[in-house]
Amino acid sequence: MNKNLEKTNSLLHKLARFFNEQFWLILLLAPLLIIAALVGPNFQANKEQTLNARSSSAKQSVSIEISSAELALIVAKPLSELLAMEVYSDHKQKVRNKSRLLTLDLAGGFSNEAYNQLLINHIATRSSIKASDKDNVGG
Amino acid sequence: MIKTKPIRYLLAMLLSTLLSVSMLAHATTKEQAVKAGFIYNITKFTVWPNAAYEGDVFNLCLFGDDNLGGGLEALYGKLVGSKPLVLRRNVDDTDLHRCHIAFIAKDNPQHIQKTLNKLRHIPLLTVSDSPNFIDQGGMIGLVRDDRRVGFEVDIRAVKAAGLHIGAQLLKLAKKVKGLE
Repeated sequence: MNKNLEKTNSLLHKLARFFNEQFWLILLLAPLLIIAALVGPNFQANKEQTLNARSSSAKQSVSIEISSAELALIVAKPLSELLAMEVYSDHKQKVRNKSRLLTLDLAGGFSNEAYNQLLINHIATRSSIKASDKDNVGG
Repeated sequence: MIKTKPIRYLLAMLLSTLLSVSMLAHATTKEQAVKAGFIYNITKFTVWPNAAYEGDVFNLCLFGDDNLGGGLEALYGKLVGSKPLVLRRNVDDTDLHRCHIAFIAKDNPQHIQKTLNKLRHIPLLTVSDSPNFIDQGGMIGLVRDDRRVGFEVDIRAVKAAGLHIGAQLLKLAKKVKGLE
């Protein structure tokens, strides 16, 4: 019985010492957690998930977050470019592309040059598909 | 331990708070940036009456809490004609005549109507991204159609305020209300 009490006591002491030593970490993380808890729900709401009902199977779209540098570039654009700019992306497509490239990277062990080439090819393919889609719609 | 090194803890908290705030400050979305870009471009095609265009600065007055997620801050100091753009918040009723543009943040229709009533008879351009803004008496509504942002104009409301909007801008609008 005494031994058990001693063990518990020692564990509690260890725990107290740990918290005392790591107090700076708690202080560091506390504001982050509080702000995340307060802003998190609003931030999610701000993403304004929309349903794209263009096709029969509805696709989910999410807004794209940007850095302050990108913001400065965008507000300097002329009206015609702003009108043409897509402000939402297909979330599922984005995730699929990312995971596809990651899988290829892991499987092939590409060098940086090969990886860059792969990206360029991928973008070129997407652009040509978009162009042909436009032609088909126009024709 | 807390008593011996309190400065370290204070610095850690300060650093963490600054980090959080700076992270939040950059949470602008592309949609909000494009809307801010629209507002700046619209100033290039709008003509204010001479009396309303006095002063050394171009005042963009903000009504409501949201300034497009900080997107409008990016317009600060940009030139409109020869005047640097300045953002004004919490504008007193007596200073409303100094505003050139009033950006009314998304809000419930009653609040928007109240703000619009307050701004009536002042030669300023009212802009908002609130749905059906031009149907409530607003001049330029920023709207999203599918994945792109566009704008609608109520030309009658613009003329009633003594402003003029260029035909080039009207051509690019998704909808122009009040055209005869």
